[in-house]
Amino acid sequence: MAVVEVTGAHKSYHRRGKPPQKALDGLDLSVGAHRVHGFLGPNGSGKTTTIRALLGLVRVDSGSMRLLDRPVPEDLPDVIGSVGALVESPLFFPNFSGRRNLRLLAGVAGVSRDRVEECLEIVGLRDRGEDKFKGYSLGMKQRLGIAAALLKEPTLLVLDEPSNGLDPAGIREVRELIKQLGSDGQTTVLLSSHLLSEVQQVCDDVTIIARGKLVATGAVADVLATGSTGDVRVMVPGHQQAAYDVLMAAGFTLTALADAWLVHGVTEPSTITRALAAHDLYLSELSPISADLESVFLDLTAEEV
Amino acid sequence: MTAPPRHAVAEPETRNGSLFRTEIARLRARRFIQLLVGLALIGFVVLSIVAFTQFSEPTPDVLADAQARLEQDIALSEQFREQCLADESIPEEEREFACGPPLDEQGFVVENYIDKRPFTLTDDLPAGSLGVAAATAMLGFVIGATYVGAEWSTRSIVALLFWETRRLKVIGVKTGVAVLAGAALGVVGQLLWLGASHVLVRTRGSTTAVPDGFWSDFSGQAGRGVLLAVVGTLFGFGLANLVRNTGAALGVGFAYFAIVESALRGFVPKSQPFLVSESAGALVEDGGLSLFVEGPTVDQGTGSFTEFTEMIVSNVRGGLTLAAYLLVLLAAGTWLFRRRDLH
Repeated sequence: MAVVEVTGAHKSYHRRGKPPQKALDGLDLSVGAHRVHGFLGPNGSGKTTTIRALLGLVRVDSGSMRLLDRPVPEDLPDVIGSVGALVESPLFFPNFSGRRNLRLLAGVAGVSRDRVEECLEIVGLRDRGEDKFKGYSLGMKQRLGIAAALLKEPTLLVLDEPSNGLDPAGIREVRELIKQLGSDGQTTVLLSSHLLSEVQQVCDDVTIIARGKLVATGAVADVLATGSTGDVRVMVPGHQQAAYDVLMAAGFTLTALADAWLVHGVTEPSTITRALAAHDLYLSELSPISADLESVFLDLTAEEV
Repeated sequence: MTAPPRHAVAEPETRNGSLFRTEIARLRARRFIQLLVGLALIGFVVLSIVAFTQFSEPTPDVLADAQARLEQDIALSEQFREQCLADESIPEEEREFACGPPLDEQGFVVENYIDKRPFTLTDDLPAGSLGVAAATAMLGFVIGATYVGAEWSTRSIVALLFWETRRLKVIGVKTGVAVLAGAALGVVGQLLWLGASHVLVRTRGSTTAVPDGFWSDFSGQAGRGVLLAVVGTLFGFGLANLVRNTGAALGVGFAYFAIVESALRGFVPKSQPFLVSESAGALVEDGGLSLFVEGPTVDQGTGSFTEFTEMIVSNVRGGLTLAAYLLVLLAAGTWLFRRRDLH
């Protein structure tokens, strides 16, 4: 069962005196259960609009959306109790303490005060719970937003840029938390982030969008594979020239690096090992150059942006 | 951060939250609202102290002195009229008109000859109640505006929709809380004034008995005063919800009362019965509001003059006019809140 399902969603914003601006252009999105799903796209690609539409804040012009196997926005009141969300910056009363802000939200859904304390503990704010929200650092505000999203013990957690404003230690903690939630077998996390490394480190699956359209989706490893370079770094100490001759004779294309060769178009790296060993040349390094999500993302969205 | 514990909690379907209770808590916890109410209470205490200095129970000597001056004035007036009627320089047929009617001694009230008159229930209690109604309506306007305006400024109303997605329910509950806040303001204001009046009448008041029906008339007026406080709160709430900002709502309110109403009274006098201020007065004042509406300018050869027509705007009409404006304001805000994309 897909926890989030968006099919053919269109949304345009109309501004007086200006042409309509397309935010979603037939977007499809499917998020599997109990996974951490990254949601990537350049600024203005429609990520936040999609999340807002799923949470009933924005109406799509056409297309269908389902949350927890229920159509939304029609059945949103029935499923919202299982959805926790942090969308962009946390929205709290600045003059209320963190604890009071959480208690007010908890009161709406009948969440206990114990749970408020638990969530403050989870995000490391229990000792600062009585401080006013406006006195919090950006990172503390973000943590409180995460705490609010966790209050309902959601089965779907929607996090929009959760690492914003966090220091490196905080970013690592948030990532650990997301990983733990994703691996507890009960929670699905939809993580919208502009930090490609974050998605690569934390997510099981990823969807990349640009200009309101789906560009790529699947397991992170599979999406990375689509951008694989096929380049392999080869080092044969003391016999670099001999290795070059052997590999050229075997039909490879090479580029010289400072202390190694970069072999291009390699589908199976073991063919390099076999070719060199046949001439009594032995490797000290054979490193496939794998694509990172950043390069894949830039490749995939280059035409769209 | 620590690992999130998972244990048995109520399922979302069985959680028994209360948006209403939460909204009441939000309202009560707002620092600015607490400050406004605190300032209003201080203002009430100060005005009560001032009132104590303005009224005084007259001593027998003061009363005797006032009575003597009253009788002196009556004698002087009668003397003047007799001299006037005897004045032959005035044509006889014009003397009655020129010298005025015979003296009505009931028009001379001894309290008018006392520097600090006593506090009287019949005159001062209803007058004060009107003032309290106006003050609580204005205070309610600001509280209603800041209550929902702050939600828009901090966008916490959007965060609330992550918990309760039915927008009509959210705005309905908030409107209900605004009504309750306005009613509480009005009731507390009227009760405080009643208490202060009780003290004033015991220490600085006239012991004259109140006429029959006074308390029922006063209760009606005080009740309508509470209603005006509710109306004021809802106007502030509705306006701030429409423009999504406390400051803008207060600005619009100020511009309307200071500029628009003044201009309409000056340039379109017939609009007076439809103005918010006049309707508010008509709603609360016992018997409605008496307005003098400017009529046509007449010239019968002795110079032009403008005819004025007295018009009574009843309690019901004043209330219905305000209700119509409120309905439009709240309906427009609710419709936009339901339809708008929220960012």
